[in-house]
Amino acid sequence: MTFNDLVAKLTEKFPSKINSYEKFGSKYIVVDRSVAKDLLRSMKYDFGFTYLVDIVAVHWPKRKEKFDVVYNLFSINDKLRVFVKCSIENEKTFTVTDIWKSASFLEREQYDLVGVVFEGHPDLRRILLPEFFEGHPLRKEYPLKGRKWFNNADEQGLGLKFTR
Amino acid sequence: MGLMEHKFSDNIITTTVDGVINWARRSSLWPVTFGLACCAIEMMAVGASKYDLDRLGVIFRATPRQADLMIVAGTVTRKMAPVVRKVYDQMPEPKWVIAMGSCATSGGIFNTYSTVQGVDEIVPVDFYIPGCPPRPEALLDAIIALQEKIKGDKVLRK
Repeated sequence: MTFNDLVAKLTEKFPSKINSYEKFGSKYIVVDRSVAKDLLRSMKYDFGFTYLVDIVAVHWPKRKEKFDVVYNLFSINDKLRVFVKCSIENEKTFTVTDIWKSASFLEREQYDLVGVVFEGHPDLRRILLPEFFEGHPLRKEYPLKGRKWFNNADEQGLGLKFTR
Repeated sequence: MGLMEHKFSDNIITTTVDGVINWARRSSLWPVTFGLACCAIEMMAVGASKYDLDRLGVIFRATPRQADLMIVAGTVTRKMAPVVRKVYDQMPEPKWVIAMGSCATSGGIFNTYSTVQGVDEIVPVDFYIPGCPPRPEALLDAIIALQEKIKGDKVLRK
């Protein structure tokens, strides 16, 4: 199946809810958040996108919908890579751990770094940063040199003090 | 040694206890491997056949218990900081630290929210090697400089 076939079938299934374009050699589907989860489920079970490569959250501080969630999907049978984009309100969105098990760590990473809350995730904790970190460093307003949290915890009881 | 000269047979050398101890210490500096980033690759190159640290008696140990030198090679993050300190604490005295590369000495280009701005915030550092990463010769130079430093250590003489 080509990208155009896929878009035609998806448009039939979700009329006026999706948009597609190709840019820089990549294929994108922009989907309305009301049907986003149904579309993603359909992508896996109807169109063979069994491999969820990555989930990326994008912060747009000046926009009304402050976050985009981008799903990088790959169909091994069709050798087709599609990026599914979905903007979300506030910081909350649905989880896709019930569709792809691999989404668990990917969603935890985005929660950790960007602060998007994936509702329904079985174990939404920080994955890269330590538990005593404050804030979400990949948000645009996070200060690049924000090292105030360094002294938040003496997690191993070694008496470390950071001054710089 | 003027008084004792020529009083013994030819195969006896007179020296001080400090001299012997310092000679032994500087001739068998065993560093614990603490490679954290690309500097570690350069550190491995110094250990390998071309630069060959073994000829200086420097043999990498994979445990702090057998080491007397820690070469911190690479970027130290806040999450790694307690580990660096713990490994240092587990080394037996006497012990020395070399901060290899600009990240370990000052944070380098990573003036960011997660990076420790110099490993001297955590452990006392004897030698800093600038460079990103430093040339193998620079690390060799630091080790030889450390050996010179150990020469002047006072063990029994206070």
